[in-house]
Amino acid sequence: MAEALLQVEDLKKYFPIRRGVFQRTVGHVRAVDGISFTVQKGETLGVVGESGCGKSTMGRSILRLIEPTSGVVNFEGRNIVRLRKGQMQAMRRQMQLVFQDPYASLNPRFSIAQTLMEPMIIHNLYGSREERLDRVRRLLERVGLDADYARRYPHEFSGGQRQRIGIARALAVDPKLIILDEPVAALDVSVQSQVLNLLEDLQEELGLTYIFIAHDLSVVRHISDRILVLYLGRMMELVEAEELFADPLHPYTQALLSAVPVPDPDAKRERIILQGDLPSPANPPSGCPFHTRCPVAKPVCRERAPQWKEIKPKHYVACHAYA
Amino acid sequence: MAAMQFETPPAPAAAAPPAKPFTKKFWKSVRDFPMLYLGALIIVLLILAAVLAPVISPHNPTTQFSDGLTESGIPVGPSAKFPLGADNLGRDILSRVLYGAQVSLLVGVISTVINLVLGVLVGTVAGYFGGWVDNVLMRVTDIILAFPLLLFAMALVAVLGPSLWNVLFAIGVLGWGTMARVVRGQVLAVKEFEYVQAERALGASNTRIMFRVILPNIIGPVIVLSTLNVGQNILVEAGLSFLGIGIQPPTPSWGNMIEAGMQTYQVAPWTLWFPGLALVIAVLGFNLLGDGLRDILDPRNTQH
Amino acid sequence: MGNILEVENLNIQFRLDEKYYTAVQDVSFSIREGETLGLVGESGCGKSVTSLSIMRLLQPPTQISGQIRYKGKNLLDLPEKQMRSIRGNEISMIFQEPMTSLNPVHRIGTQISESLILHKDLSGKQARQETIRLLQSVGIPRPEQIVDEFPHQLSGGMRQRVMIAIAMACKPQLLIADEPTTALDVTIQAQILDLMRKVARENRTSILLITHDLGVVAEMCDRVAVMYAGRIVEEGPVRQIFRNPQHPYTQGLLASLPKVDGPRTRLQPIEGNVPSLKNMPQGCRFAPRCRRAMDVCRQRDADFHLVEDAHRVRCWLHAE
Repeated sequence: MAEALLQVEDLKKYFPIRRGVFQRTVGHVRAVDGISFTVQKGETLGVVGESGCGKSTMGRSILRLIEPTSGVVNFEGRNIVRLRKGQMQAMRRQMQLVFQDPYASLNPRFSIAQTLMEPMIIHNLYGSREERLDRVRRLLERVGLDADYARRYPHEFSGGQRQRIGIARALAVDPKLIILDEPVAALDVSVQSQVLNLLEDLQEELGLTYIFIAHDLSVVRHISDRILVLYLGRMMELVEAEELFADPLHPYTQALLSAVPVPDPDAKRERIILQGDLPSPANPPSGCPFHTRCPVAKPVCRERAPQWKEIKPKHYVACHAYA
Repeated sequence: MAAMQFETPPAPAAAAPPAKPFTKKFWKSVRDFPMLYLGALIIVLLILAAVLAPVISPHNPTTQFSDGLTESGIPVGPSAKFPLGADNLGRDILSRVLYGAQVSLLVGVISTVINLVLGVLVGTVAGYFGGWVDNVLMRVTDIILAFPLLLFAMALVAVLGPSLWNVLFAIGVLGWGTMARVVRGQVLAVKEFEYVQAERALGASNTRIMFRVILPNIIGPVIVLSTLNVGQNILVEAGLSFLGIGIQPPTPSWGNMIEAGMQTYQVAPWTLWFPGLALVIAVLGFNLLGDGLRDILDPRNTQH
Repeated sequence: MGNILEVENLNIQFRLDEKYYTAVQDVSFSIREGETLGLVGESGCGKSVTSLSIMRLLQPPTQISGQIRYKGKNLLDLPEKQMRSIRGNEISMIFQEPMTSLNPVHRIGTQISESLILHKDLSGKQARQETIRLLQSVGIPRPEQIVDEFPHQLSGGMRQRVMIAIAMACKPQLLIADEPTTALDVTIQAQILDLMRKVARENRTSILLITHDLGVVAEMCDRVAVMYAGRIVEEGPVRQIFRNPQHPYTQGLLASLPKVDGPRTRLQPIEGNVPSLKNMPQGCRFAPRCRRAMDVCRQRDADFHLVEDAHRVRCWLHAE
């Protein structure tokens, strides 16, 4: 049994909605509303959901780039939500983030060498400039780029190459956990698979643990060991990746899977087209947040939120249909 | 309309394109941005005038020539001895205009540097931290901006006493409002970029993020505004001197020359014209340069 | 069934830094009545530029040559006035960003009835009735109220429905859809694709669907043209393209996709990057990334070769 690297318990992030001259709080956007899970060392946990499901907010709350409203985030047994500012800054060495937009996530004024040395300077790693430059060259080669690119600037690179640089920056501090927030969503199809392969190789070589946030279900299925499905800030389903696709239990997961266009013109599938729009997380439906669009909703779904239950071994679902 | 938008991501250039000869590039850039270069030319001439004033002035600016006035006490017009005529005390206007450039540039530039430091500091801190810090700093900025700078500076100089350094100080500590607002707006925009978040995720301190990451990325608008600011501050200095609480005679400043010219312009209009013209050209120069820089720094005008 | 649109030898050049670069080269395709043609490719392949050129929406400095024949008339030769009577009436377009393609200061109803009044000569009152009917037909709830609302009051999916209502207002013969669902969530995408299929069938509208998503293509299109770096590299019926792809680029694209079923194996990416406009390789533009490239590929681009019925590929591997 592998040991847990990260343990998230009842994580919540409510953003206040302020109105009026005095900026009175009139309500909250419940971006993340009680999420709990554990990530084992060396594992990849995929997190999927549509816009407003809170997956990005969740990632940033775990790293405390956004301060969580409540909850516990245990990293190697230490609750990092309680850490003071200085301790937290040191802790950031252990956990890194890779962003979606390779065009916005690199500072246009920094050369690639500066970009990659920045983390080493912040954490005072590798004494001299020569050692750091040497490390930069090794990092670039590690992510499949020419070491001579160090002198260039971000605008000289394509999206895929920039994303490799973003990954190299995350690796510069030798983290244990990397949260990947839609790392291939902005890339061309033919380049996506290059980056996915790179991520797999790095994980194997360096023993990394990933939280992979995405909206593309086939990508998540490919890279994840287990997948967590979110809807309006709540957990819907959590299970091993292939099992989720083979036997989705939650009606939302079923609809989500059936909505994915498959690159096969002969694919005959029962398509579930959900009616209506995603509700706003500022005003989520009562009870189960999915009941407004759920094809099998019952009266109880409107009244009470379903419990998080292990329906089959290691297959967790929050749905009244399995009560 | 996104018709001209390319989907092409920039690939690393295989080799740098052969550098065009510098002169050719220079003239192309002059053709593309003529106003920018006109502004720059004016400012270069202005700086030369100020620096070389002791060398190129035909006369000492404070010497009162008896032949500068007619027998009935009216200033003499432009002549070989006084190329731009003489003023109400018989002093050479050309020499005074040249020396006046020293005062204008000194006040304009140094007060702008003070504006810049204060404005960038206030704007960056307010924009970056947001919340109550932002509220407090921006309300202070609102108050600063609520009064016309000239009026505000008058009050402060009246308290401190009129002198070159007090004028400079007054304009410097009161004129940073616009800069603070612009910087705050830019910081608000830039801090949302993921590379700023990436820096936080790496564990960088707030000071490092503000001054090493955000500031270099908003330098363009800051440069533009500073340039425009110099022109504006020159005008305020002229206003103060015109009202008699700025640079004190006999030290020549365009403001106090205009004020003196006001008394004699009906009989000797050049006493008003030339200092006025110098002021207009100088301010125009900074405005042209500022607008031109804005054009050049606007990404839509540069093809990459 | 006749061809509604025929594009022949379309070339589009853009000016950058005082030089012209070819964004679209020798592109030819046709769309039959009631047919959906998918134009697929990655960023920079010229698919969006092609679609904009059909609507004559490209702005100078751009050079266009070739022919774009709509019902036999070359659109590139039409005077602007006649073109305006076609745009939004006989040929209409929906874009990727439903947020920015609606005017934020006008009510939904005004934006739809605008083209009805312009092209169909309806009175204000008739146009309003028709607008409400249209909103209903694209599945918008409470159309009598929505008609008086502003775009920002609607969700992304609802805005895209409104865009479709605007596009379909005059029952166009041809609908050009440029990445119509790329900005939408999966469950909303399913709704919109479903809606597009429905309205196209009801009005016998042909669709030119521009997308990078092969799943969307498989689901929506009758025929597919695959573009790479400004050229069509393969074209054919959708089933043949997916079952029997012939161009190494098409094969590579299909092989690089992660799958939603079957065992998970290592992905087979296409190495390298999409070339930039300023840096187009000689010969076949895919040659630098092609595992089967030969000497001739790097020198001259191939011509089209017929593989099967109506399935053609631009590749030297097929030159006999």
